[in-house]
Amino acid sequence: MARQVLGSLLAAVALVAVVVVVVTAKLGPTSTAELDAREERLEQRIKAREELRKEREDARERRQDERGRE
Amino acid sequence: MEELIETVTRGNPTEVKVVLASVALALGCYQLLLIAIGYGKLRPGFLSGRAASFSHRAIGDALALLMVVVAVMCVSLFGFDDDSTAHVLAGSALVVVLAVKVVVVRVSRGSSRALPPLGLTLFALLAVTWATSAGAFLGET
Repeated sequence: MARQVLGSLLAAVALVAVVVVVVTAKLGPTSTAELDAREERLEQRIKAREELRKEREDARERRQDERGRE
Repeated sequence: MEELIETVTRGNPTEVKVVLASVALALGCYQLLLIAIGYGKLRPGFLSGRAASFSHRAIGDALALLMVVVAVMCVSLFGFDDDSTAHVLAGSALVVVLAVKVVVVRVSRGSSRALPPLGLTLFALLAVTWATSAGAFLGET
């Protein structure tokens, strides 16, 4: 009987493991950690774009200043 | 309590609750199978009724604890939200029936005739509670 009990308890543990894996896989990117990481990546991209735009504006202003002096 | 839950779940209380509730439902289904074998309704060659009943009791203890943990998380995080009346009613009834079943099991030492209907009611309430919260959440994702 002990072997049968152990077997049925192990089956329950396996069932729990399967459910955890399946549900976690289904939830996937809705986790806060993943969303935070995604948001951070987006912010970094926006920041980089902003810096690039500012650099271009500065370069344009410098060129205009140089032309004005000529 | 809310802060503790946020810390333990690392900021993912809803997701953890959905996983735990899904585990509880899966174990609930398994419990039905085990007790069907325990009562002799199913007779697989590899598992005796006595062994199935013993496992049913052991898993039931763990499942009861799991359901209480999920209920505490749910009430602490969301309270008794007006928007989810069915979930609140099913969840509250689940906790009450669970408490009644635990008392009946302790008092009758597992031999009461009230246990099968109580168990079926508990499973039905668990299914409704899951469907109106975790099931809906999983459906959205």
